[in-house]
Amino acid sequence: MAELAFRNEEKVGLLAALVLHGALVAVLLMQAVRSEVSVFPERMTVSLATEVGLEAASPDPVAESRAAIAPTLADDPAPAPEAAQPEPAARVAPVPSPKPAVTPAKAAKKGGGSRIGDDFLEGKGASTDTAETRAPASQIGASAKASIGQALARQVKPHWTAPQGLDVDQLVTLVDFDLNPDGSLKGRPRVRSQSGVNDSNRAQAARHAENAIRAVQLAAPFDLPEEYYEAWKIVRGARFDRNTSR
Amino acid sequence: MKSVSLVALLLTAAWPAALFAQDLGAPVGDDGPVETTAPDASQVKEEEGISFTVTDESAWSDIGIAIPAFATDRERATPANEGGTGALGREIARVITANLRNNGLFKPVGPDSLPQPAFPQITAPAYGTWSGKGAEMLVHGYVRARDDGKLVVGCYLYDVALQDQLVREGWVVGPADWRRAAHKCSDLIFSRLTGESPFFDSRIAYIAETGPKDRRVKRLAVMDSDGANHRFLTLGSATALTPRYSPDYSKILYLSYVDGNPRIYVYDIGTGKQTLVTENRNPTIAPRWSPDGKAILYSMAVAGNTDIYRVPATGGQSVRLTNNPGIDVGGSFSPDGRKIVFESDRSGSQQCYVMDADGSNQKRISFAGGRCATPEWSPRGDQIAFTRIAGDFNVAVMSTSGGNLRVLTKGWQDEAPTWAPNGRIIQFFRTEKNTGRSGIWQVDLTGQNERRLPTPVDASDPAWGPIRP
Repeated sequence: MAELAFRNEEKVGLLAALVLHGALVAVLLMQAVRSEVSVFPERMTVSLATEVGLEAASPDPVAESRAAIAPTLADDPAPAPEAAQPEPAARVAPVPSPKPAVTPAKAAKKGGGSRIGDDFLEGKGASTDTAETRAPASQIGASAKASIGQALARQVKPHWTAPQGLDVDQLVTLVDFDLNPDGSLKGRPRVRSQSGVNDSNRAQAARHAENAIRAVQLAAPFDLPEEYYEAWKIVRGARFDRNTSR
Repeated sequence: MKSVSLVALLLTAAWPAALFAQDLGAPVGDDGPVETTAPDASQVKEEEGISFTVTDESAWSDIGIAIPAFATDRERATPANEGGTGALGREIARVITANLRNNGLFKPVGPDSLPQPAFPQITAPAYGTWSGKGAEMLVHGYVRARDDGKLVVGCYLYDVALQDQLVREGWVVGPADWRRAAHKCSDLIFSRLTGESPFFDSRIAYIAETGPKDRRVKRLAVMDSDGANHRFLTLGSATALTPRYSPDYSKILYLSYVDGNPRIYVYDIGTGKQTLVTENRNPTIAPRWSPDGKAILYSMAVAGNTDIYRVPATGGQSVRLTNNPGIDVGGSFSPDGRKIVFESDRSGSQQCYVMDADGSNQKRISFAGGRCATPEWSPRGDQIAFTRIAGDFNVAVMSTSGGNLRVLTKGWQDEAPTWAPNGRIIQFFRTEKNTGRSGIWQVDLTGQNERRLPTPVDASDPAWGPIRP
């Protein structure tokens, strides 16, 4: 009798265990379905500009830069602030000559200024006959170039749509164009080359190139910093692509 | 004095003579061909410039096209439309809008929600008006009724953003053919904006199905590519199947069960006359035209063994192309007429094979899993469409060597693919799972744009004819 009752309890317990297991399996299955929704990473733009350039580069290249020249300090510190103003000739004159630093020395005697900011002549090079104080370099810097390239791409992108069709994502059109200082197009953009053409997308290749040229034409006039005109007046091989993430 | 003048005369005579003498030795120039060079300044001197990459990750975006009513120079009566040429211009723009809307590449806006341009504006559009409406492209056109009753329809495509004319063309059509002018204009726009060959101005043959499942009436029917000008060709007393337009649209090949046995007939559209392809007691099925329309491929079962035969379209001796104990059926020519793709179960299940036009060099091309049935060679020659049977029936394409398989549809039962004349859109029929009703569908080669072609009754076995001249 007791055994039977025990068995009944056992049955109830067994039933409960089965139901709970079933529920667990159901929960796991639902979770499995949910986790199938894969999360795609958001696309981001990465610009790879080298940190150390092998060539001399600067954001705004100049051929040579003036040497830094410090004024000669006077023996007695003078109180007069108006004397601290150097004559304009003082900036041009500092040629290392047999009679060294006539004017700055005089100015220093007059004013006796020791404040470095006023008549300390800045410079990043070794030249003594130029007023240019920026870093000497032969080329525009990679980072400046990269940001100009990105600015161009950013302005062209809204106008660029690849044609639809089979295998059109394999098409790449390279476009050349020249720009005027005001950002407008100098002449018509030209197709430099096209790659990825196969039997399936040959019909779209001409349309791809046409749309690329259209995008440049619609994006012009470009809004680019005029002081870097030398860097963006010639655009060669602008790459029009359906997708670079393949 | 005399001597002086003589000397002068001699001098004047000798002077040009000396010039000629000098000229004789120097060649004027050889007549060889002039070398051509790319007229590109950048080729002359390689300049270093900045470069950038621009990509287009957006989903396929439809091109917005505004299609206002076609203008007319003066309102005249025409048999094509009781409202006159002005009303006809509006109707033409509606047909173009419907054509372009239905293939998933464009976002056309029709004449009913757009202002009507005046006749002089057809050649000089008011771009400001249209760019404000968000249209990228603009279609203008005109309808002119000639004194001989014919209609002149002109069609212009403009790029609104660039303010540039992309393409224009005009057609002279009879009043009854006004829809063809609209299809020609749709073709012009479609091929200019996609690079593809045109296909709207074509006709479709199919099997119209009516009646209950157990007593289904199957009739041969034809219609324009947009479903207009619908016509039944057979009465339905005998079941008709698998129609195929001849390359010149003059005839239709189809299968008829007139005496209970499947026989291939050629239906002449002009006369309505039907002729048997082969006088034979054996059942014949799966007829196909050769690309030049001079020969017909068919399959015939002789003593339980089905093989593929070729017969001249005008009648004559049949040539047996396959010689295999398996069922070989459904040959389809490549567009150059040199190869034939067909279906055979010689390996144990239905698979697709390619052979030369004379039956030699047979080899299997489908190895991608599933079965391969009803193969059709693309009119462009680069792909083969077929029914892929792997659980469900789906329409798939592969390269002519069997590689690069892509399944285009996801229906329960999609079968019997045929190609649009441009080789970029595939037509098939889809049977619904529960009701058993079937309809004609179209899908493009990317598999992204699928649409149902409206037919007055249930439809199956669609076949696309070539583009009309």
